[in-house]
Formats: sequence, structure tokens, C-alpha cells
Amino acid sequence: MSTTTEVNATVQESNGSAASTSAAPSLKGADIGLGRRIEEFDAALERTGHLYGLERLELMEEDPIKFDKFQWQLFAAVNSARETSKYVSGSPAAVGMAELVDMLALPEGEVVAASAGLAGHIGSFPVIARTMIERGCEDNPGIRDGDIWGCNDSRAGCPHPTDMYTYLPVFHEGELVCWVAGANHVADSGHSICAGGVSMYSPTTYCDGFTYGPMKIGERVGDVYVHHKPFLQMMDSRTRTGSLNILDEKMRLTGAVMLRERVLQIIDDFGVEYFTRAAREVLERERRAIAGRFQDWMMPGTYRTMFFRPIQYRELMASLYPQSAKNWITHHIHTMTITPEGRCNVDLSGTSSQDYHWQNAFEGPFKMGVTFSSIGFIGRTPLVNTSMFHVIEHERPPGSLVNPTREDVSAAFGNAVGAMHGVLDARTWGFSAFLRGFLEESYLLEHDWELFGGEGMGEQGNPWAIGDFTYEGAEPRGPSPWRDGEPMTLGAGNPEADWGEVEEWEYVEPPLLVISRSLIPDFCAHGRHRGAIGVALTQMVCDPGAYLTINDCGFAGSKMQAVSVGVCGGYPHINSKTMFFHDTNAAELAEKSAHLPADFVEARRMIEDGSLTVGRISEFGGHETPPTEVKHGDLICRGHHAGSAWGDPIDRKIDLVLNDVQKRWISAEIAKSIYGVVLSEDAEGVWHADEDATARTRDEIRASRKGRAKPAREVWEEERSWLLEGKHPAEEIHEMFQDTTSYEGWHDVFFGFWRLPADTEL
Amino acid sequence: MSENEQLTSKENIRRLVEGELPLDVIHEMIRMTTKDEDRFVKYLEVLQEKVDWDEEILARISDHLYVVSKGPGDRVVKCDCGHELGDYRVNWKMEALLYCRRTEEEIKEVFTVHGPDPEYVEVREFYCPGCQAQLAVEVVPPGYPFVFEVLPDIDAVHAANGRQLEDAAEDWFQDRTPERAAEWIEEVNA
Repeated sequence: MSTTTEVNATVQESNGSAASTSAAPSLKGADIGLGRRIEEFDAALERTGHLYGLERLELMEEDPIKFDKFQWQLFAAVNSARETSKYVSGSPAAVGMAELVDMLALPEGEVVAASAGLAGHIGSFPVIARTMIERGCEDNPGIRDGDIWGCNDSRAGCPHPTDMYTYLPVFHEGELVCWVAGANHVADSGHSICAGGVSMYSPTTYCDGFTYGPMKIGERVGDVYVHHKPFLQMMDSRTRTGSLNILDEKMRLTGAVMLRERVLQIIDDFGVEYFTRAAREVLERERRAIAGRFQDWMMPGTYRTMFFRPIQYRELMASLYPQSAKNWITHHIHTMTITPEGRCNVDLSGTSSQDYHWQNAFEGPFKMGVTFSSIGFIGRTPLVNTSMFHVIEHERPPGSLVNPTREDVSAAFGNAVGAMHGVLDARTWGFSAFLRGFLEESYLLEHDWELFGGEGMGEQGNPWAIGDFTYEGAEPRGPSPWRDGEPMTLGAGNPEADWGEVEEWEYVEPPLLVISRSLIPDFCAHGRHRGAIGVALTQMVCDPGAYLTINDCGFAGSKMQAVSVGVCGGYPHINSKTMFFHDTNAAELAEKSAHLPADFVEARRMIEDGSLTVGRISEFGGHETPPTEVKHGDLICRGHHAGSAWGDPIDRKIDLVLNDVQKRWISAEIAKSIYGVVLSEDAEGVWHADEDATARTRDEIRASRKGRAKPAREVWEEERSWLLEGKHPAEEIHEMFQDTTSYEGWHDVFFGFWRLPADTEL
Repeated sequence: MSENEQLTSKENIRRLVEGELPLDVIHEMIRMTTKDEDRFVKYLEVLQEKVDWDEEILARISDHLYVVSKGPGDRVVKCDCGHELGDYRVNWKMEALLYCRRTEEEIKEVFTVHGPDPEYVEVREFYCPGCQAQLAVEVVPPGYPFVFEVLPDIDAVHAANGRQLEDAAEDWFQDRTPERAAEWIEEVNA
């Protein structure tokens, strides 16, 4: 593997590359005034309410055709960089699924245009730019024309170490005019416990793996961009997938160099003053558009949703990481206020405190995560940009999981927490649009995602590792008030929903043979419009060599629902599931071309009827799977859940239930017990509904509800007494209540609702 | 009538609410660059025509629930069956029927393939006392406050649609749930 990158840069050398001429020893580069620019940006917004203080969009108004040409050239530039550079890489996530993004940002870090792909990364780049100021990068090592910068540190703004950024300052006549950046999710970033960068078992930051930057990682020599060799050597030696990662690094640089070249051409065509002013007008126009959507489409008011996540480290960490040897239930509370003026403020007070586990979400990771949902729901522009962060504000209490203040807590996967809050943002907006009457804009963007990683050693002693994206590219969409959720519909982080080719993944994961991608009957949240039917990914382990471990991560936790509240009487977003069936006869079944299970439901059924034999089962409620050793013939079954349901199940139209049963998505038993629809199958296998029996069954369901329910006040009194007596269902819940009520806003809600005396010790 | 006006006619809004509007028409609505400014007014008219009672609907807050005006200074939550659940500033769940699924067997009835763990959470189903419609479902630890899902700013949304409500006042947009809980405590103590 070559460790030197040479990328031809055909652009002219510009004037900003002179090193400092100061007599005193200094590494200071060009005087770009980055800190001053950011201060001015903030002050202008504060003073006028407009980005860059732009009260008029003069260029757009005065010559809209020229402006249109300009913005589409930006669009073409970022997408062309992405579409071309991806072929430099060798990782299936990059080449096959185009899991990368190219971005153009103004000097302050505000992204004006991002390509398709992992567009959520726009949330990170402004934080990286500000971190460069905080860390004095302008003075040491200096920022110069021709620099190659890199970063993957979550504390510096990057989402997680597996998301690596390569970016260049673009100078024109000695002035910094913008940044160009490439970012992608690499196959592995050297986490000490979890291969593949899916780090849900991460007790401290010293497990986070190979993290760097923002730092200079190379420079232009003549017209050639050259990576610093020690950097690539470190990447090679400190990650499990050095070869793929170095190819990805070259890919990111290629995209950035292409984009720089194109931007300089655009500046030549339009003039530098036009470029800067028009790019700023793009951002201000988009800010107004987003604010307008809140103002015009949504019901002003206050909304509350939440999710809980279990973390089960007690036994696994006991001997090595005593600070992490416990279990948690973390609380993520989300109180959103949409104002009549078109602002969206989200108060996260009451979210659990930072601790020695994976859920610590620093600013960059948090913003990147929430952006996944925002760009699809509220961004809605070909020029994906950061203006939304000046309309939507998340108040992140210091010391909480969404604003960690300690240096030693893990920062390995905070973007996942951000993504979960993004789900709450988007589902609240969908509900809000429903209340305002814009039902066509109303849906639950409760996208699920899941990744798995693995590492092993082949028969020839060759170590290998992987981070697999198949589920990540094929997420479900939740329902709306007028239709059901749909499986495999979107990639919230990547607008081109794509499972990737099975064969392509199998090429880089030779021991993992895909035996099924299918829908799992009855695996959905039930309601008037149900969640999407769950999706299975089932693999058989074949000749893994000396050893192979697999670990998973994902949106849906175990034990608690992925989102805690359904919509209008529908059941909330259900958990995902990962099951390992060890020591099975699956390999023998495959040799005989006998039937293999499509999913974990069928596997359990086959175990019961004896056709599948199993030595032992490792079962995980969600996708939070620690590294788990697998051997030849083992089965790995994942079930991917699919969004909350909308409305009371017995309000579901009979025809919709009939269609579900006919397609074998829902069983006739569930059709009757939950939906109250009575069906029968004729000799040709066609199902028919009995409307009279359905009406009677639904009446019985209503009567049953009346019979078993109590006035809510009685439950209130009962559970209040439990709190006063210190009676909690589990120690983790007790600790979570104690911790989260230490935050003032949530304390008032909690104690106010239960009317607990102020001295109550939860 | 322009093409957009036809697309967002009151009849189309009614069909959208009823789930009868074809997908291609809905997709056309999604593609509109500018939405109809009177949508909220049409929406309330459509909803008003669906119910059998006369109180004016001020806002919808769920599939079955509305905030209605019972006269100046009196705004309550009302189910489409006619049952009322009190001042809309108080979480209506306080006045609902509630069934908590607390065992694995009870939970499996509704989470049919894979569900939450009763060691940590209960499944709360809130029903209308009048018609037993399932109005909300929460999956939360016992001892967690009932989730107040939405408190709409009703004066503001009507003002945005050019109407100053007769009883508009600053204290409408306030969570009054703790006060209701305090009344319960007083009643118990009395």
C-alpha cells in the first residue's frame, strides 16, 4: 500500500501561501482573521436577525437569472466532486453506496452547499471551524493556501471517529474565501473494543480509537497535493482497516481538490465579491424559507416527546473498567416550542448526565445527528446548508449527555444520540403540521438505522475488519395521518436509499453469507396507520478462520421503546432485535439445499419443530450488541423495526387490514385481536372480510377497554404513592429519576405533576 | 379557480382528512411551492362538519380530540364522541381512562413480535371515557409523569390566520396541569 497521495491540482497557485515573515519564531500563516469573522457573523445575526445582516437579498432580486445560474453551479460543483471522487475509494460504503459528502463552506464555517450523500455532516463543519479558533490553529500551525486539514475528533466537532474529514482553505488573491471539504464514514477507526466504529461499548475517551485534528495532514507542493506520510502511516497502523481508510482519505482529498478547482473557476466567472455576497444570500434565503415553514405550516405551541436507552455494562465492564461497571437507563427529554414568529426552540433539560458510557454527545456530533432528520423534513433544498441552525435551537444543559463538560468521558458515538433527538424533532414537526391542517406534509420521520462491525483473522493469519452499512442505507419511514409506514424507503443520512449489493458486501465480508433480506410478519407498531413492517437481515457464518467477532449498534434500544410515545393512540416505535444462533446445523442444511430461516421468528419456529438445531442463543433486545464471537454455521438474525403507528388500531380501514393479511404482512390472528377485523381465507387462498363480525369484534374491544381501565386519577394516586415510598421498578430507573430531576426545568415538571413535597428524596 | 385552488379546495381537504384523496393528488399538494393561506380555516370547517355537536372547534390536538370554545373564557378538550376532558391547558390524560400493561403477557398482546421489558416500563393506554377510543399510548417507567404531548398556542394560530379570538389572553398558553394535580391533593386531604 502506497502511503503517499498525489492528486493533480490544475489550478493556479494563489497568493495566500506565503509563510510568516515575522522575525520572531512563529508558525502563523496567512492573516485570515477567522475569529474576527465569526464574531462579526454572530453579532450581525444578533443585531438584525438576518444571516450576515442581510435585510435584502439584492443579488437575487436584481438579477434572478444570474443568481440561479450561480446557485446551480454550486450544486453541480459539490455533486460532481462526490460522484467522481467516490471511485478513488475501495470501500463498499463509499463506492457502492456513496456514503460520502462534499461540502462548500464560507470562512465562518457556514455550509452553503453540500452534495447528496452524508449531508448531515453540514451540522459539524461550523463547529470544526470554531474549534480551530479556540485551539489557536491560525497561530500554530497557521492556516495557509495549499494546506490539507483533517479531523475526526468528536470534541472538535466531528460526529464520531469513524467519520473523517479532509478539508482545504480556498484563498483568492490572499484572502480566505471559503472551505471545501470531503467527509465519509470509514470502515474502522481503531476503537479499542468495537470494530467498525460502531462503538456502543465505550467506557472512556481513551477507548475512542484513532482520533485526530483539526490538524494539518498535508500540503500542496507545486500543483500536487501531498499527504504527510506519518499521518497516513498512523492511519494505517492505528485502525483495523488501514488500506481502505487510506483509499478513503485519498477519495476525500480528491473531492476537496476538485471542488476547490471548480470554486475558483466560479469565482473567476462571477467575481469574488459576487461569490461571497451571493453565497451569503443563499444562506439567508434558506433561513427565511425554513422559518416560513414553521410559521405557515405548523401549529405554534409546546410539544413533549422522549426516549429512554438502556446501557448494560455492569457485568461486561466489571473487571476492566470499574467506573463503567453499572447499568443505566438514560432519559432523553425533548420539549419543543414552535413560536408564531417561526422559531423552533428545543429544551433538553432533564436529559441524563454525562457518564462513562457511549452516549455523550458533544456539540458537533449532536448537531450532525439532528441534521439527518432536519434536512429531509424542513431543509428541503438542493443546496443543503446550515441556515437551519439559525432557526432551530437546541438548549443543551451543560453536564448532560447532550452537552458533556468532562474530558474523560467517551466521545465515540455521540452522533447517534443526536440522530435520536433528530427523530424527535422531525416527528414533532410532522405532528404539528397535522394540527395545522397540512396533512400532506405530515409524516413521522422515525427513521431507524443500524450498523454492524466485525473483526477477525482469516485462515492464513490475515486480520481483517469491517463496518457494514446495509441497514443504514435502507431505513423505514414512519406513517402519516393518511398512509402507513414503509420499509426500506430512505437513508436519512443519505438521500439515496440503498441496501448496497449483497455481493459487494460479501466480497469484503467473506465469512458472512447473506441468506435473507425480507419482511417479518406482524413486526410493526400497530395503529390506524401502522408503522412499516420490520425488515430482516439474516446471515450465516462460513469459514471465519481463526476467530470472528461481530458487534452491532443502532437506533432502537433494547428493553424500552425506541420512542416512548405513539401518535394519536397508535403504539410507539418498537425495539429492534439481534439474535445470534450458535452451533447450529445451518451449514448442513445449506449443503442439502434445505430451507434456512429468513428471520429470527422463523428460526425460533424451526427450532421448535426440530428442523434447526442450536447449541445456544445470544439474544439482544436492540442492536446494542457487544463483540460476540461467531463460528462456522452460526446464524446472525437482525430485525429492523419501523416507526410509531398513527391512531387507534380499531379505526383502521378494513380494506387496509385485508390487504396486509393477503400479503402476509399481518397474520389473521393479529388482524382480529388488535384491529378487530374478522377475516377468512377461501380455497384459492384469497382472504375476505366479514364486516358484521368486524363491527361486533370492535364493539367487544371497546367494551374490554372500558372493563379493564381505571380513571387516570387512580393510577396517578397509585404511582405517586410509589414515588413517596421510594418504590421503583429497577435501580436504574431510581437513579435516572434522581439524576434528571437535578436539572431545574425537568424537576419542576416532575415534581409539579406529582405534587411531591420539595424534600422528597426520589 | 386556479389549479392550486382546485388542488387545495375544501372538498380535497375533506377527502385528505378522510383518507380518500388519491396519492397522486397528495403528491401534487406536496410539490406546491406556496401553500394555500386559508388552509387552517378550511381544515377547521371540515372538522366542524364531521362532528355532531355545536361548540366551535378552535384547534385539533389528536385524531379524536379538539379544543373547543364553550363560550368566552371557557376552552375545553372534547372528543368527537362528545365527551369532554376539561380545560385544554391541563393535560387531558388526567381525565381519561387508563389501562397499564405491566406484565410480559399483557405487553405481548400489543407488541406482538418483540416488546419492551416490564422490568423497566409499563405500557399506558389512554381511552376516552365516552367512546373508549384509544387516544394515546405511552411506554414509560412507572412513576414517570403523564406526557403532556401538546399545548397549542391557540390565540397565536388564529391571529396568524387574521382572527383575534374574542377571549384572547396571555394566560391561555400555560400548562395548568400542576394546578389540577394540586386540586386532587386537596380533595384527598379534605
